[in-house]
Amino acid sequence: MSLLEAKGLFAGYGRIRVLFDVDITLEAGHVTALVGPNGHGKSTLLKALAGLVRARSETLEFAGRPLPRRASDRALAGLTLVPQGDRLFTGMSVQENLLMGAYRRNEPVDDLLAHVYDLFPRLKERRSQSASSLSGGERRMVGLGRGIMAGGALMMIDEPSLGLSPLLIEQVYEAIETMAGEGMSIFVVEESPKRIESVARSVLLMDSGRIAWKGDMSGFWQSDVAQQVYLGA
Amino acid sequence: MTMDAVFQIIVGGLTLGSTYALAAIGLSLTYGTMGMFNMAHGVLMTIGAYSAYVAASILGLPLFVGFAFALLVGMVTGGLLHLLVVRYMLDTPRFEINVIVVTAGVAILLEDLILKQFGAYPFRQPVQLAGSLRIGEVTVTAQNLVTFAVAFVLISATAWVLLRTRFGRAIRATAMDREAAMLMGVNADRTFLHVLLIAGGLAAAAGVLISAQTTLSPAMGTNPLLRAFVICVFAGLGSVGGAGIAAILLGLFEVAIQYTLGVQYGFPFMLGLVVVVIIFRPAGLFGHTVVERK
Repeated sequence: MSLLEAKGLFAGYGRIRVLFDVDITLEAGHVTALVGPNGHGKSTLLKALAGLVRARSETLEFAGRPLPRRASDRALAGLTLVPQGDRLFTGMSVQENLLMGAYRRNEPVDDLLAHVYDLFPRLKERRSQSASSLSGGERRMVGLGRGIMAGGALMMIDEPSLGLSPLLIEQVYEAIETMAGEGMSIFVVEESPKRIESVARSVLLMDSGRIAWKGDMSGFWQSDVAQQVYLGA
Repeated sequence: MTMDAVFQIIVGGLTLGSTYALAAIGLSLTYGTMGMFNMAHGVLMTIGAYSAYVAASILGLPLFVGFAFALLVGMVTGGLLHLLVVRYMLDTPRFEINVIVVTAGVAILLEDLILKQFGAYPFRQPVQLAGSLRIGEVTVTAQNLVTFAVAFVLISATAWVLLRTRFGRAIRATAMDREAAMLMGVNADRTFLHVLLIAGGLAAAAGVLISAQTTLSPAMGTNPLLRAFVICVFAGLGSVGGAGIAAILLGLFEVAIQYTLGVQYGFPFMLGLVVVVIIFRPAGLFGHTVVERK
């Protein structure tokens, strides 16, 4: 059974339409990449799924149930978005940020917290520091850690490499690979398919607000659309 | 100045300052979380003061119950303000300006209802303690002690909730980044209701304490609202802890001026100090100039 299914999804900001008739199906336990050039609606799709952008669709189901309308209810249902630019709670400590990630969970979260500190030892050192004092890479780790703390069924990550140095990008993708190895279902937006090809099993290519191609990562570079968009052939 | 005078100033200043603090932190919390300057915050104080009066004088309940009743009525009024009015304005264009006008309207309406019910004649607040003790030449009234103790307990409890509980963390997260808080599963609408419940309770408690120092009158909330606003600006709008500290400092300063120069100079000199500080620190004593980092 698919984990998330959207059919005929349209979304936009006010009068500006961004997404047109998007159909996507995400499988549980997969890493699915959403690639495509900037400004073509990738982030908007994640926001629409998270409930931050108004959307209408024929079908919008998550884990076999229709998604609730409010963004907060979607988060409670286990659909987690790690937003672009981290959006940390800058007046809180690192640990408080992580605990906010686990807001939806009523049970004790010590195990999860230990797990996040295992994955990002730097955060353990800085646990009581204010989030505003962190470097860009550390902030990204807190953002991802917050997503892990939610322990949702699907984690959507918006451009985890944005604004980071190549070395840090590598570290971030290593962490995502570890998470994937643990069987997490991940839907990740990435401008460059190169960065994600070793991690992702399936790929969706977004072009001008539509899904232009979908399939296995292995077949991506052979597709005509990929060649047109990325190689200009 | 003798040691006795200094001590007397400290006693008076802490009493005044802790009352201000109680009045100011609710206002600061509301602004910090919702971007809402609540012009009805003063009338919430009035409602608290009259509720205590009704409970103690008319219903004949014990003083402690009267105080608890005032807190409860303040919370309910704050909650209703959200549910009946503010909720429908959130996310509308120019919310921050419109909500000032609308809550001012609500304040006028409620104040007039109190005037109609109780008349303009000022009453004595029955919910207060008589008696005093003298230490050397210094007089400490029982009401001084109670005011300070009540403010201390309520402010500490509020701080504990905000800083140490999951519930309080959700409020602070909403204040820092509402959308991000929603992504964690925080229902912003419900958080705003919680904030106005807390602010309503704190304002009501402040109202009871203020009316015990002066008298009950329908317009009694106007002056404390102005002071609370000045304190919030002085501390840095939205800084809740800062508002508490600033209130104590300004209370001490005001009483010191009253004692040395005369009662009539207290408030003007306090405002003068605020103006000077704002000139040099426009974001307020504890405010941060917002630095955008993306």
